[in-house]
Amino acid sequence: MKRYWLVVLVMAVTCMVTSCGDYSEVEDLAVVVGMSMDETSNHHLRVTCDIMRSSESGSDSTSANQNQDMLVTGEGLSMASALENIQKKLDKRIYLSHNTLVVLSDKVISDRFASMLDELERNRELRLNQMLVVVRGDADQIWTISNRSETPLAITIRQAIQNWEACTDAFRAEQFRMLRDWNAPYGVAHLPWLDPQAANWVAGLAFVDPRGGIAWWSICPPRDNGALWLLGDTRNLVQKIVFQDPFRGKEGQVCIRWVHTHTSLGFRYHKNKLCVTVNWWGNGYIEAMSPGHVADRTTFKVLEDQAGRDIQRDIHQCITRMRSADVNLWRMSLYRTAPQLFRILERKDPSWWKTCDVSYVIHPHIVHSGLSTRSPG
Amino acid sequence: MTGRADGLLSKRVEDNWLMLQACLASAPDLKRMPFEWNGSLAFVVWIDGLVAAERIQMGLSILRLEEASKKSISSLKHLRQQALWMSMNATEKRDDVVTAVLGGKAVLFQDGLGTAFIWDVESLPGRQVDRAENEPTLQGPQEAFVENRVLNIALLRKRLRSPDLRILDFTIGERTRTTVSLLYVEGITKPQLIQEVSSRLSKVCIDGVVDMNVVREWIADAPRTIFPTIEETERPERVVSGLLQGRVAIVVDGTPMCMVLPATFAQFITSPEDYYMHYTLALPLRLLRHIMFWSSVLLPAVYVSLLTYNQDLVPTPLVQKISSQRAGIPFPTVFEALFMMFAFEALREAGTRLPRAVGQSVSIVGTLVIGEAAVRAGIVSAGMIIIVAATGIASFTAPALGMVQATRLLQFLFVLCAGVFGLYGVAILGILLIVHLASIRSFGVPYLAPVGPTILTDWKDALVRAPWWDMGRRPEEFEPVDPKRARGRR
Repeated sequence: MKRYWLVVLVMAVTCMVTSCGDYSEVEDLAVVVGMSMDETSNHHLRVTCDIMRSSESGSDSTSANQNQDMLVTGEGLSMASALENIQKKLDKRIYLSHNTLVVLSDKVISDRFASMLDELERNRELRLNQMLVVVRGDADQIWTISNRSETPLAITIRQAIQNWEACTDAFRAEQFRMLRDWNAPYGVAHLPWLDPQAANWVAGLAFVDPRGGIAWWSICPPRDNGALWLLGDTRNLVQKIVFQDPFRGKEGQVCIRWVHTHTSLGFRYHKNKLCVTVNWWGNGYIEAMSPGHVADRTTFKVLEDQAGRDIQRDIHQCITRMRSADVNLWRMSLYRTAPQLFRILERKDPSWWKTCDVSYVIHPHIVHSGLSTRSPG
Repeated sequence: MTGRADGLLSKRVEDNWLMLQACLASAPDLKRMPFEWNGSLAFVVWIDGLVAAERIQMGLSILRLEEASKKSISSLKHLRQQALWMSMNATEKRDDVVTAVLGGKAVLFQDGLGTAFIWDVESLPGRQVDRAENEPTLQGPQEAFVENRVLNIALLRKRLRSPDLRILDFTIGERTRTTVSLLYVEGITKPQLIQEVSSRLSKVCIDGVVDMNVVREWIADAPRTIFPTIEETERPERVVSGLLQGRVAIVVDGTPMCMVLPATFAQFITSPEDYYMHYTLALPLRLLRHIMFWSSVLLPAVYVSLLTYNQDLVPTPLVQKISSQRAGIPFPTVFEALFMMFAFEALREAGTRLPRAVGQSVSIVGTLVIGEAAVRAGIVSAGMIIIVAATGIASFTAPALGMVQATRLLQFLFVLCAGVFGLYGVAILGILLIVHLASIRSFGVPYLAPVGPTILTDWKDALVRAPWWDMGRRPEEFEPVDPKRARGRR
């Protein structure tokens, strides 16, 4: 019996001693909801944290711009050291689990994108569903946006990105959950490009190569879906097509809603030359057509052909611009499909991805609206 | 004690009267009525207030009339002829006489006879059958047990008019001499269960049974657990339902409740009303009660964990609101929770003990005034008040009082564990609780049956309530002799 109580006592003491390590009252936390990262002239990282303000929070070493936000800035060689410096300015513990937005400047992306992602991924407090966005110029200019809502600015910005009318569905795609699939299928990240001066703050997409290249692409659907065609998967993209109408014998316009599009890559190495095939298929329906227009089989065929041509043209333009902006779209996919070939090509000619041939296989499939979800892709 | 050493009555009525006076220390409420009968002196003895005096008067008048018409027959023979009609039992033992007088009977002595006649003219003070106060329902029967055992058994017989209903009486309590009745239905209840309960009842050895709880604590399994292992109810129809399931009932004299056993965990979440409404409506209500039970145990603990260890699980806007509420509160969340729960328990206890009108005032003052003032004074946060109030409401959804009391204790344990270990501690304590529940037996029936061990057919009346036409078999967990409840299907 004595031994039994001794064991119980030892276990209880052990539990008591080893517990409470993570104990922290909620009001003692400085809840960070957004971060911006800039590189200073001396190659330090400047991190500005948007801390959610509770009714009594406040600190002498901070500056506040709005009621809901408290902005605190710190510098350091890495994100960790910058956050340490921010911590020194606060009387509460920095808490990163509620961070929803990370704003990166183009300079940070060019110089330290890979290491930055590494730090973000390894921080045990940071969640994987935070959104990464890019700003041309200083990232902390984002905090100058006037916030009239009751939520902190970072949350307001994130909601604005997700609700951007033009690209709502496309931007809600899982690809924008930054670290999960950020490199599929190309090995580049597609990040929202923010501009504080723009009407909706969203200017377009930035294709970011882990090695530092950035290709900026403004998007104005349905006229110009541009780089959106390149995303691995999209939902509900709208495309306006100008085509030669066989029913009327003159030019007509229709809007196609692509319920689902998918892009993948294929590689063929022949006679010491790499050829990349971009496979695209989409399943959509006619959303808007001229009144009285009868869409027969011929019309669908013409429409599909025209849509295919337009999409191929957009993708081609996009790839060309990526290449010129030093964004390697093939690296990750080739490495996964043929790692040995990838190594050989890297060794022989590091710029192989700029010169390889590209061919396109485009499969648009357009149906009447009622059939769209049931048609095989 | 005056009287014969062999424990038998004397042939002299005066000696018997002196013996009774000596036994009851000349109690002032011990009354006698001397009269001459058949040429010799006779006494009727009783305790004032326990008998119907008018019935004694009427009985004596009848005896005298009979005597006048039949002068030749002896008193003993005469009385024996009348015994059935007048509900009398003859005895020669002194102890029987004492017990009978104390039990509200009148005793008739006659000079020259060594026999006394115990006369059932009992009229014990007590209340009449009333509405169920502790287990109220909107539908179904409303009668409740009273403190009179005979009346309680009559209430059961009224509903269960079967010749197979068996009653075994036990006298427990050396001084109180309380009658405890064991009821079961022959041909349904497992004989081993009857034997086991009888055996445990016979072993109860105490001087007094002032309430049913004395018997319960003596016979219940797992005496140290906080969970009830015997079902208590004040509703006769619930007892009848239990008897028809193959369980046994125990009625204790002087207690307006009845015990039904064995009892499983699921039965404490079951309300009688479940059977009085359509099964489609009873099903969600029963599920709701299960959810509410676990909420009442876990809600404050989870709240404390989320606020002190696992803030990442709280939605961001809520973190801001709670943080604002908590700003300026001088106590850590765990102490705030314990303080509020303690205050809530105090209010509940005060509301129960105080007279009904005052109790209501205390509740209103406590909840509205003190709660509001505490938030304004910055002693507790509004969120904590909401959580504790929600927990209190959730705990009241459990129909069984014993289970409600168990959750009250468990809440404190869980909050302490959450304050020290966070959600991890809550999970560990939860696992220990399940292990404990799984280890309990109620008269051989696993407490978590029919979930653990899994008896799928019994799920029809445990987690859910199937329609009556689909519950053709009695619960297997009680191993009834006759497992079929319905001979055909709808």
